[in-house]
Amino acid sequence: MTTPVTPKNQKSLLPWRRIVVWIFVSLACCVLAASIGSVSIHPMETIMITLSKFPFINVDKTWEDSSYTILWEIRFPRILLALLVGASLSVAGATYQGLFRNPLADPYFIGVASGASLGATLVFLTNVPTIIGNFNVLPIAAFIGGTGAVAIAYKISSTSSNTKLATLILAGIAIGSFTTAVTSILMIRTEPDLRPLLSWIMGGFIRAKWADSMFLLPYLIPSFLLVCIYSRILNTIQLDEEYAESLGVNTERTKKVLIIVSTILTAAAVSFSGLIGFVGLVAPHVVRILWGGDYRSLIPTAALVGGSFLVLSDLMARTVVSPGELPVGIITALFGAPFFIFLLIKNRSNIY
Amino acid sequence: MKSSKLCISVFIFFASFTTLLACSEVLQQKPEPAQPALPANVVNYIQKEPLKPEDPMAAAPSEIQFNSPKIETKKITKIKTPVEKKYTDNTPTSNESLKATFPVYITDIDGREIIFDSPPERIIAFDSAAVETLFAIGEGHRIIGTHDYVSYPPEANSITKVGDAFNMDVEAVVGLNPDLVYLFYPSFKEQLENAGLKVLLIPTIGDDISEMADHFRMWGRITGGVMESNNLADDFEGRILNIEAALEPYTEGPSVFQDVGGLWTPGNDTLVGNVFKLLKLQNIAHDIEGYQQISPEVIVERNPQYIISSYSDTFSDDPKYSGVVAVKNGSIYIPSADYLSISGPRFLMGVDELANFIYPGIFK
Repeated sequence: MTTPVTPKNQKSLLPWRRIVVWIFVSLACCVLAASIGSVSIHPMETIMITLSKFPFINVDKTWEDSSYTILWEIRFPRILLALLVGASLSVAGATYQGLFRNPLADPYFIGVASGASLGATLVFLTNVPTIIGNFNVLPIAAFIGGTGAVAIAYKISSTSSNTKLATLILAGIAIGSFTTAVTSILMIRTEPDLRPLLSWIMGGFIRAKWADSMFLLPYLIPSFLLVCIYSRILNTIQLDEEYAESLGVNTERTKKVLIIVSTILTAAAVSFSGLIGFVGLVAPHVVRILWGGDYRSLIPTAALVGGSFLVLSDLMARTVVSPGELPVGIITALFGAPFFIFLLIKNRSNIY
Repeated sequence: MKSSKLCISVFIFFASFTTLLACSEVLQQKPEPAQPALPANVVNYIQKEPLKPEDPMAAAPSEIQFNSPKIETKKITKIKTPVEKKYTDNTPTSNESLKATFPVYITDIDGREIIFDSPPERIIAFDSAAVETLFAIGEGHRIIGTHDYVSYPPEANSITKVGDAFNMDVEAVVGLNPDLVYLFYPSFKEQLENAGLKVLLIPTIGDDISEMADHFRMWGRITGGVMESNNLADDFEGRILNIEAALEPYTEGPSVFQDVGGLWTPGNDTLVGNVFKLLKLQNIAHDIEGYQQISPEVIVERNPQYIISSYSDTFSDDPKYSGVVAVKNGSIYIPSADYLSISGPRFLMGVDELANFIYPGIFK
């Protein structure tokens, strides 16, 4: 007789080797992304500029100012932001998939995306100043829109004693459709130059600055740790909510914490990068197909896989039609989908 | 088993991306030969000097010298006074050809001839440029319907609105009983024709500024305001000639980058791209097709001397662009209105405004 996986008897063995390998893969992706761009910079220059940023290393300035700006103010912030956004979306996606026990769940499942677009649309299409004091209004509006939409859905689905997840999904979808409709009305009724707005909605890192990553990190790190702490409970919830409860898991608190954490994480990521699809849905599945669904290892691996994938996608977005750019969401779907389908075909006998 | 899966996946991951990167490298390198001799700052001086030794523009960056951050000042000095090539005003003459003659035949987008036996009295003009043109030639009273975004001239605000940029309220159009519906996109053409209305859909202006004058003349022929429309068109063409004449002594002007929001920018094959050509400006997005988002890396590298943008804080507040000459010099031009986005009579006001910003004092 097999013993069910319970919080008590799960072997506390993390696949450290796999995680370390993926840390190196992510680093390799970043290096690759740093060395290629629409402007070609000599590899030696790239190395020297990078080295000059390390403490205690003195490098004579031999590079052009423009190369320095391109690397330090454009490429590096972009790569870091792509990495963090990919990780955030993948962690949020994995959490929603686990919590809702629904393979279709992605970070935008319960209305974050449409709420955030409404916030962003309001900023783009009304005459709100884009910068108030030292704050950029756009990410703040997107963040408030995204978290607001989920908060309403959550309020609708909660009674005093518990939260019905099925109701939450339906409420999220209803609120999502409603905010999307409002966004569309705003788009049709205002001045026809929608390009800036549309490129935000399609997602991308063209605006990336160091400050964006610095803003995202304080959301990502605690959220990531919290989800990791809850990953054993996520494993248990996979079986049955009632069963988990009988094992002493406080499912209500778990739901609350995980929904809040993933929503905030997604909203923070979306605020800076716009709506980048597919990463949050697929990165957790890829990890699940290749290495199994144990959330203790799935969460960190999915973060690294999603981050690397988005770094490479952004690299393609800015080089394929150089000197122009494509929205990164197009690349993630265009190249991610065939890869995912390949995995599905390879493994169709033993998943889901 | 597990490790083999890992190997396979990592391999596929990298194989696919390296292939794609290889492709992108090819794409990247392709356009380079098309650009004239890239690195040659020195060569450029040598080539130019014998031609115009005293021409300070020879030292100013040309298309070829995108990464020369040395030039910090805007310097457009003229070498000789512009040729007085003033166009003559088309004062009403007793010319018979300026009289309205009907019937008028206008060829539409499908090559069909639309026949006008008399000037239409109830026009629905679903296009900002057409509305402006009709008012400019004194025939605005014929317009009975237009779309939501038409805001010029002020009289246009009181005209009934029958749709926005995406949707036309066909019922309302039919209800207004027009004798001509002018469209600039084909979506509702068939529906309107089935309702028995006369529809005129002519090709939109591609990238040729002078086509605008033809549009003015066309409206004159249709409405009978031939003389006024000819004056408008002649004036339009004359002003273009004046600009060309005033700029004739100059070789290549400064480099520019136009941002229409979110780093979307017009390439050379656009109306705005041709305005840049007319003003001898070097569009840094010369290798962009139509309108596209441009990579911020490219903006930094090509280092424009002027930036045209309604969103100037995108550039002035961002450390990325702090080294760009236009930002350092504060040469960011904020258009006062979207003249350049409507291909009507006010288009040249946008051109003049831009020209006066970049070449102050050259145009009277």
